[in-house]
Amino acid sequence: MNPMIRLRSVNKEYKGKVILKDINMEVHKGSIHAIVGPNGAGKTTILKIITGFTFPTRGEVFVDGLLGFLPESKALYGEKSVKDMLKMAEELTPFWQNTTMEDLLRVFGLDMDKRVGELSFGKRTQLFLVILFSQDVPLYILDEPTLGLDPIVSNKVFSIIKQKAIGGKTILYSSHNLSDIEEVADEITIMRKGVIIYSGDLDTLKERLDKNLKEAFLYLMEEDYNEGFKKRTY
Amino acid sequence: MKVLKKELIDLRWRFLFMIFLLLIVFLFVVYGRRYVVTSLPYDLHLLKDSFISKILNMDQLLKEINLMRESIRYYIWSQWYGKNFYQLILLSIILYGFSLFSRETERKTIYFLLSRVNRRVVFFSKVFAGTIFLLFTILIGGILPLFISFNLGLVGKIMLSSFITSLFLYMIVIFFSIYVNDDVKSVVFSILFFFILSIPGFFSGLSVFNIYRYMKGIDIYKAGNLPFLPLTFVFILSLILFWINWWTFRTKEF
Repeated sequence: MNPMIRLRSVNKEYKGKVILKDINMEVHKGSIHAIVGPNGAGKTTILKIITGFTFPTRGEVFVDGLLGFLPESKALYGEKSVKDMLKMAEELTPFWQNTTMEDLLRVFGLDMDKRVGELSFGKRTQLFLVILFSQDVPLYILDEPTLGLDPIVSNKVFSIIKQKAIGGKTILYSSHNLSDIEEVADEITIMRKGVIIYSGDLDTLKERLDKNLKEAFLYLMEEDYNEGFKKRTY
Repeated sequence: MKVLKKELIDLRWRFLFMIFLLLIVFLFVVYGRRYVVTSLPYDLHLLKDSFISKILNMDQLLKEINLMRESIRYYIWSQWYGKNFYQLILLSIILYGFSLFSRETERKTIYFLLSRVNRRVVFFSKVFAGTIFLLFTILIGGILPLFISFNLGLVGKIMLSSFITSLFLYMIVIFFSIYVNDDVKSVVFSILFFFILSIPGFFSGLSVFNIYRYMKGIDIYKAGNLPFLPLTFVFILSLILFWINWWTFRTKEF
């Protein structure tokens, strides 16, 4: 499979502190690739490097084509109504699809007249997801897409992600929710303190360790804590 | 064009506020002339022991007071272009520029914007939107005295001089807006820098370096000509600042 994203020896330092160390990973076309790790592991930094919001100190980043990005903050223009926000997004976003937007609005059921600033974090995330997936691009990058969402809405989000992947789109997302990742992802990158511990096929990881994802993740975290950080290939 | 439209919409209330303020202040200046002129002292000997006589050239002051009393043209130039108008331009420069970038960063909406539109388009659209409103603010405020009594050629030169110097100051505000990630800091640093730029004006030997001199059109009113060399220098500085701003924004990490 061709990589949609390729990172080669990516390092990131900020104010003398190492944020990412020798990151090598690939995200393949049509895959759902999850990045997982404890807080401060460097997940968001990787996503920001791929999306061009921050730059690597060293290393190469390759992204094949346009991408849509859901940031961790889910920040939109609070003074606008949902309707105006969508109109503005439509005007600014290339490859916008109105039919997709209408379908997604039906799924999430947003109040169009409400001001964005009055929306809860969860509702704002849903609005951002409508905006994100209304853009027809080959790659979607999502930073904590289900943060603040209830399980029913989270399930809807993962259904959309699966549909997009079936339609040939590539999804890269970060999350803390291992059970959700196990359900939808087919590739995984596990990180700890700026280092990749594992990056590759999810099923292969589980088979080699003979554990479910949660057990495998905890095992790797503990093993790494004891042995120092090394990237493993299973 | 779409980002430019967004920016123009975002700035429209500030522009309307500035136009309203320009009109109000101008009316106060014009209709306040009778009060100002009659309240000015005829005999400056009355002030000879006062504090003001120690810091000002009393003969020059008397000459200017008499000019204001006798000529509405001199009064408008000194009170409008020389005092109120340029201060309102300074206010509009800050109003249009301070939050252009810092607000997007502070509210984190920069992620929404930059994941749709490239940095070049965002930068140019934002800077251009503020420049358009700044130009219209100077045009509207600049031509107001024509309704009373003024020379169109002179007004045109004053407006051109004000616009070139305003561009320089606007680029400074833009720099702070890009560099800091906070609206308040952007305003505070801009005001502080504007004050620093006024320091040469306190020393007669350095007045040629006082940028506000060119905003007020002092040389134009006195000599009738544009101060070509200083304005060219200021314009080149503005272009350099523009490039620095673009480089800062292009390489900024969010």
